[in-house]
Amino acid sequence: MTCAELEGLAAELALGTVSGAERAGALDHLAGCVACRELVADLAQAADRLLLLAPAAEPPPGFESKVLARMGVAVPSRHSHRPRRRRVLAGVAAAALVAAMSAVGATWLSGGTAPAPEIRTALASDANGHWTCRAVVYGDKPTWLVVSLDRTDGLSAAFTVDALGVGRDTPVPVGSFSIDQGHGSLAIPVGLAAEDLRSVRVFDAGGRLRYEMTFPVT
Amino acid sequence: MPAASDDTLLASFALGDRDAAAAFIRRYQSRVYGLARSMVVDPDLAEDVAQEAFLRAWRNAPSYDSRRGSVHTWMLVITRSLAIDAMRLRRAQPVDPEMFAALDDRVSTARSPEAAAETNDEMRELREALATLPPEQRQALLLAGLCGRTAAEISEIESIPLGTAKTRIRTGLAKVRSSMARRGSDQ
Repeated sequence: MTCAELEGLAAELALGTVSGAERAGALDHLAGCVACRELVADLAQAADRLLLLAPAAEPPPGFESKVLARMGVAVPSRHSHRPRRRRVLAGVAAAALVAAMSAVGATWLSGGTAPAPEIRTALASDANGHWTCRAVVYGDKPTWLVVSLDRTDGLSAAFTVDALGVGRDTPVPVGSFSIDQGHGSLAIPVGLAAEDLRSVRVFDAGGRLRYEMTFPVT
Repeated sequence: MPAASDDTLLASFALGDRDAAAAFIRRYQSRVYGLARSMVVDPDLAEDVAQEAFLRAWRNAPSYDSRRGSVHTWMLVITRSLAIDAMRLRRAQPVDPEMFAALDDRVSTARSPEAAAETNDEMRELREALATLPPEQRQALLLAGLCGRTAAEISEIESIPLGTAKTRIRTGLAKVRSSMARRGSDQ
């Protein structure tokens, strides 16, 4: 396939409607042609955004339960009453931590059906020895870092986060988050591989180090 | 408690957390199922496609890159890919004329009440870009982009030569892309 032929097909490639031998030929050409790759990628941005205009429609009843069942995740009970504190914490980063810990403790060891992402967890405790700040890191390209803070004093405040890589002296700024009534979280991609992350530090608005979570050496 | 951001919810969904997964599905299910219906038409097949889209998102969540688009767009791209695969395996059902007319209305800035109420700049600009296209180009682009129809199928639906169908798709998408780029550079 020539560049001119590919150009004639670029819109359909971006829209995903080319198949068979034509698609194979186009992909073969794209593998070796930067200009055509850029053309298709450019058009794909517009093609992908078109999808936002698709009409919404409610799926049949039970849809959510079917997906959860196929994931191997129990269907949430609408009648379960979790403690208030846990509900507040369900700020998803904390839920991620719970999931990460249970995945390590249950799914991986039992060989369950859920995938086994590379998850590393580090904790920091308060003066009373209670785990207060947690960091969970997982994934690859991008690596996700989830930091959750859970204080019993009902504080509302802002914090900043940085991360230190293994063998590095300079911390990498990660982001910031706020807690409301003692609870808050941050989930953000970081530019370090999960296994290269040594520690995560949380600073208050005055720049004082408040929590440092060090990951176990792998 | 404020709703979790899309990125945060996806991060927890990736870990298989039950509550996060349920919240993630609830947030996107009508969009995902709606797109699947637009493409495959058959409600049962659309449900299969939508279920598979969530499973694929769950498995591939760590590869999501926010620099390449929103979680919403990412979910819809996954759905489109699965819907097109499903249509290739099972002969595609004819486009529902009423559904398509409603779809065309949605993208017309002048006619759609949804468009008039649109508060999202990106969506409003997209509608405006589509509304400026000649109707035959817009219809070809919508049939390809939101109904998953190939140029050959559009040629049959519209009773036009294959080359004309391809030209309409190509010209329509290029104009939308140019319009988006122009607006982007104006801001």
